Amino acid sequence: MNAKRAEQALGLPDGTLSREVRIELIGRRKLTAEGCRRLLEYEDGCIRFETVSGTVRLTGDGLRIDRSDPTVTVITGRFLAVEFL
Amino acid sequence: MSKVIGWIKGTVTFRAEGGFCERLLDEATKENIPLWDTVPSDTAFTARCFAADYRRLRPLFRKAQMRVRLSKRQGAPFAFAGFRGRWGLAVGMIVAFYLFELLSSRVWVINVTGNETLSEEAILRTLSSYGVAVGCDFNEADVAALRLSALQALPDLAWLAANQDGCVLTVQVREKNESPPISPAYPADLVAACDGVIEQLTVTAGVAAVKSGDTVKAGDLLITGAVPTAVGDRFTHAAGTVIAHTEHVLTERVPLYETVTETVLSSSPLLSFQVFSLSVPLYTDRPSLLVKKTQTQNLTLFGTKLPVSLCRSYEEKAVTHPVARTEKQAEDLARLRLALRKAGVVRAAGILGETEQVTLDGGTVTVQKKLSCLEEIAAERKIENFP
Repeated sequence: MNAKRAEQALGLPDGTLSREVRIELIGRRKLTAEGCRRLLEYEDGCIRFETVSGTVRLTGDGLRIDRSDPTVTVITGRFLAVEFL
Repeated sequence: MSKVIGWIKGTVTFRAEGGFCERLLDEATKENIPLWDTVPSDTAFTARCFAADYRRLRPLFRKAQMRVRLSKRQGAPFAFAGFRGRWGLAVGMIVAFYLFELLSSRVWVINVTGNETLSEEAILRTLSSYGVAVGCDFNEADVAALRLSALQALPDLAWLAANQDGCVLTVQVREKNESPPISPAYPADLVAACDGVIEQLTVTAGVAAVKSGDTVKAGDLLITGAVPTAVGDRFTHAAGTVIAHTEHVLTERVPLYETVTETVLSSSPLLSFQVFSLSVPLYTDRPSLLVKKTQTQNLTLFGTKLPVSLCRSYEEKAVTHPVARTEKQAEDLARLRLALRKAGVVRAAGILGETEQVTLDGGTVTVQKKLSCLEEIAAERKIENFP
């Protein structure tokens, strides 16, 4: 059964079963991303990572990956843009 | 908290050059190796990880084609690396901690305050018989039972309290005074304290039961506190002055020949050093089994008694020797003893005269003194069971 349909049928929050990327941005300083598959690029002004929903690119200044484990990636810095490619 | 955990587990900061830091991060994430404080740059990639995880990262560096170098080591594993193999240090710390806990929970110094006539040694000896001595755990003592037992064992004490402050136990005592005067609010009679002939009687409260010239014996009523009135006796606290002629006879006997046993202490003491409850002898000769008298002197530091003391033990010997006296010497000795006894007999009065009789009978000199005195003989006595 489609995970999305199951979520809707059971009344669960989006992304609970479908493993879509879940990005939480707190202000312009901290971003928490769940569902990252692979890191593609890591530089001071740009971070790109691959997710189920596509490739996400973060641009800004002083971007740092504070924590990275199989479930969640925490990125801090001064964000200018969050794009899906 | 994370900083504390990091310090306990130990962290390393590494610098990896070349290769692909993204691949390294991906592989580390797959292997569940946490990395933090990552800083990418054009030339190198730095990050921190736990010391134990660094070994697991080494194959990942090869996969990411990076050359790595440790730049900093922090935490307990590196701080204590120098003590590896020195088990004695750890054991010593544990023993020291245990000793500290043990020693701090026990009493090592006992101070006695408030005693005037009773010696500190007697009080400490009594407490020791109930388990309270240097080295004891006072927290386990039943203080109420101790107080009761100690007061029963030392009848000269009116009150005793023991308080522990750290390793110092302070024992406060109060010695019994003479019977306190009866409260003026309580009915009392005045009775004769000893035999005599009334010379002068002055009544300030109550009713006189005797008059001048009467002969009274010890315990006879002199001034009564029961004042008769039209409606019955009114009880009051009798007061007044009763001066009487009294006679006191003191006798002392001294033999011309006798065997006297004296206790002689050895001239050179045996020294020992006492630390807490351990005694370290400072002599090499084995002491004899004779009864010893020990004097203990606690060392002090700025007025505070330390659990360190110097003990001097003396051997006591009972020496018996015969004594031969002349009549004159026996008489003088008897008079000396009588003089000491006389001071405690006459109650604040004038001695009108004294006669002395000396007899020699069967090798014993007997000196008898008759004291004729004028003294105050009134003593208070409570009136019990008054309505």
